[in-house]
Amino acid sequence: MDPLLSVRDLSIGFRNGAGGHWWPVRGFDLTVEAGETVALVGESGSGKSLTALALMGLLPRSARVEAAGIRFAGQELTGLPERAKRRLRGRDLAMIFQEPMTSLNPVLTIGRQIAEVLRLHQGLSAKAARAQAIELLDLVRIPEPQRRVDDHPHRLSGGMRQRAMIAMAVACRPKLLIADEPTTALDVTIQAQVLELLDRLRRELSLALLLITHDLGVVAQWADRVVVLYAGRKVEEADAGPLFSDPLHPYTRGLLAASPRMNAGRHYRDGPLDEIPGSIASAAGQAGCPFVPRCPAAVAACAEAMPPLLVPAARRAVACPVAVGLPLPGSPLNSPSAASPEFHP
Amino acid sequence: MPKTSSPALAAAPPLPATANPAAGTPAAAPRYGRRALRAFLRNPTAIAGLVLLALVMLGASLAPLFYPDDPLGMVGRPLLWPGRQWSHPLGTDSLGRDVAAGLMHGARISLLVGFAATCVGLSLGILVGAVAGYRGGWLDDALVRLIEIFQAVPSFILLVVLVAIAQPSVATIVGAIGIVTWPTIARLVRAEVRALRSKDFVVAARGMGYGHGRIILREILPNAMPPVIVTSSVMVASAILMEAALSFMGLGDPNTVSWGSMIGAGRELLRTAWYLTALPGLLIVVTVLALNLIGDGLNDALNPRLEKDS
Amino acid sequence: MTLLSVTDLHVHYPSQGASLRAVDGVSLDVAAGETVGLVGESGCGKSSLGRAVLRLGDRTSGRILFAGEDFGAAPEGRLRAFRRRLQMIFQDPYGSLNPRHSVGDILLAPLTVHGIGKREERRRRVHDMLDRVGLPRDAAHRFPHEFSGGQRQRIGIARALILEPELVVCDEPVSALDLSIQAQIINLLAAMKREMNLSLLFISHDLSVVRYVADRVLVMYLGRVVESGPHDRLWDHPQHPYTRALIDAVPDPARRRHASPLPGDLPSARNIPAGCRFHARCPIATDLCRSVDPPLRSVAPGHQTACHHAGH
Repeated sequence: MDPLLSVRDLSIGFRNGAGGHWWPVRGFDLTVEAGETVALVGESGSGKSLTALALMGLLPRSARVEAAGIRFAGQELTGLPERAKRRLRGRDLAMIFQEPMTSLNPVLTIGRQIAEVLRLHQGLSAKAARAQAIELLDLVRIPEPQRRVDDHPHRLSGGMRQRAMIAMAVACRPKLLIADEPTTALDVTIQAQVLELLDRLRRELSLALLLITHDLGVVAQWADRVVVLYAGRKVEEADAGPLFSDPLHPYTRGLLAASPRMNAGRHYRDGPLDEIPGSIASAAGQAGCPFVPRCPAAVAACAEAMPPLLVPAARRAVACPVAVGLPLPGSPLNSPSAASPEFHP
Repeated sequence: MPKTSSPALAAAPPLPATANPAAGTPAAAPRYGRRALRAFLRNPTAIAGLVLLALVMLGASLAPLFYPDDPLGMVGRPLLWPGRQWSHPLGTDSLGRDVAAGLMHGARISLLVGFAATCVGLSLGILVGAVAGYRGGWLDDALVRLIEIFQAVPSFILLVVLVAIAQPSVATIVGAIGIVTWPTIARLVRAEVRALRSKDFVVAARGMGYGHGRIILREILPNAMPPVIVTSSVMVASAILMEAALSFMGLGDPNTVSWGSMIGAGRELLRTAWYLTALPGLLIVVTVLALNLIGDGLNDALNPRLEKDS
Repeated sequence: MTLLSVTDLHVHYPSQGASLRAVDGVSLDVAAGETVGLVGESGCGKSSLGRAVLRLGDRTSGRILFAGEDFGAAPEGRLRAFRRRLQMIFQDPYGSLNPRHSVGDILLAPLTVHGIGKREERRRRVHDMLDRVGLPRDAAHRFPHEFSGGQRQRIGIARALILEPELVVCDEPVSALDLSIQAQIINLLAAMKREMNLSLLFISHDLSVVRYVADRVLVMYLGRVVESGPHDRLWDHPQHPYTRALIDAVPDPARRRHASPLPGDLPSARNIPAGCRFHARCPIATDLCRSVDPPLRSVAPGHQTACHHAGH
């Protein structure tokens, strides 16, 4: 069977001052199967949110989106007329954002906003839409939905607003829900509530979830499959279990080693956390692998061309020949002192 | 695991001077002021305003060269139309005074009053606004009341009363216009200062033990200036209009010629010698327009809607 | 030796109806060379507490002793001498640096204001500090917007440390940073703490960060400390149900697809529940909890909790 979503060779470009383009996302492939949770992980500047916006068709006009193909629910999206794409969005493909306060209209009640979606995409009457909105609020576990339906967004707490956003997003029973940092603005205890809600909706409404996040803990706990992005390139993809037990790409390895969350029990008096030197800004203008300036394993060949995605095992891919033991010509680029001795490919 | 990861000991990590490419910032990031200046100079309407204002200023500065004599003196036949006589290219008025001389000398007064009054208004406004916004509490309440009282009185009537009491002269007109315009600036500065006062970098400055004067002058005010600069260019324009209106009503300095007084004097001959009102009127329009264009340009340069600063 | 001692601190903000009790009776000590972690969710009052301790925010009542001197009651004119010894690092690396000043100015000004050294000496100290926080010397001529978030946070740290303070309040210093940068900044703080023998009050909502950096941890809920203890004990034997819930809420690969989230939202600090302030969300609340506010009591050496049912 076809996957629910398959993206082939997606690039997103913006005009730069010099008349050309710079490409914050390059050559990106992604597949999402029906009913699964795929996490897109990366830090700011990795292009993960741009990718989501491109899928939703929400990028500004100035953006250039190029893809060899975007298939969703058996339909080719590239070249589809604008109207058909718009109909798809909000119905089969929905998105929730990090900051629910700015994504909800502050002057309309949440009931009105949910009802609006239902009337637009399902042609419900005002009365039926309102009844359905109350049901949806109940579905996302907002207490006293009869009363809350007439509240304005500012009357709700952050967690409740995120629930209302989710209710709006799932109103038309989408097949794929894209969640862009859905819990980053929330406190830990509320975060756990929202993640559990998303996972319950995934099961009950049999939707697929594309979870965009920088939080490795969230990914490890909730995702089936993980795609790691760095400076616009996919550097690694794997099922969640193998990724965390045996990360391959130097970037993924570095991130896991640097995360206090993944190193529970470590204490500063026992020694420093491992860190990745430098910042993602060093990837600018890098011809080869964008991670080269920070990579402990980089050799001269890495800086010449972006390594292809290699498949070292079933359901795994990594864009680093060194990581899978392929010898590359050239001497090490970064000084041995900066390279982690822990790293043996 | 033992890695030279103590950054205090390790070599400095690679530090690209360029901003994050993903955020879309230009590679070289010059300091704020220079960046704003460049944006301003790239704006064609701002340049147009600047050129027009420069022409008016040139005219004003050349006045004593072309017409060293008192522009209020009678020099020729009255009501001579423009273009009839080479010695008076723009004609003469009902008393035989040269119109071109009046316009050029009038530009001096208009610009002088416009800029000087704005300086007075700015100083008063910034002082009151900064104190009220920074100090807060009862002093803020009191100063806000004061601002409200000034803004509740129709400003032109207040201006007329002030000038009438103080006897019209360039100095009193400048002072009076300053007094009626400062509340706008004070309100603006107060709002900016209040917003900036709670910013982390100001809290940090307090935490470093800086004095209040230093915090206001070095930390807060430089950041509060962009909207003030934008507003002040429009203030110059409105001060020029106020001066013209006062002179038109005969409340100008009787010893100097100004565009307003020329319009006032030509008013009765509007049907027969319309050029007497039209020419100074045109100059007022051009000057005010120029200042407004500059204001718009400053606004675009100093308050970019999309602050690409991440 | 106790460096900072705060007793019964209250921060109440006036608002319509009942006042907002952001901090409602907190006492804490920070020993010389110690890192005290302060965890809690947004709205629990941890940031208000951090600022009130430095007298940078409002304070309704409470004593603040610093190195045995009454910092809390010191008149405005005497604050400057204290300011040199107490510093703060902010969360937002963008908002905490004045965009109009060069990095050099930002670091020089504290030395000038406090009259430290001659010109040459000050320059040397600025360069020295830039080296120590891992920034190149030419950073002094550049402006904050030319730096990435992590580099700006290094500048903020340099500014806080250039006066060689004894105590630094770190208010969510890594929360705004990317994961790959967080470890750099945490390591930098730990290294500077060791080199300069600093005491830190480290405020964060992120338990895993506090777990790594703190010697002792205070857990705050709705303006109160509900539990405090040495770091190892607190994580391994949490006594308060809120602390337990916080630890459980941290995403953990070991609990695939399963969370036992704490129900409900943080109540408003305007309308604090009677009895134990946690009872409405507490899985083990009883009638006693609904009526009687539990005081902090000792459950083990150095380990205190405010729960009626702790230790049973």
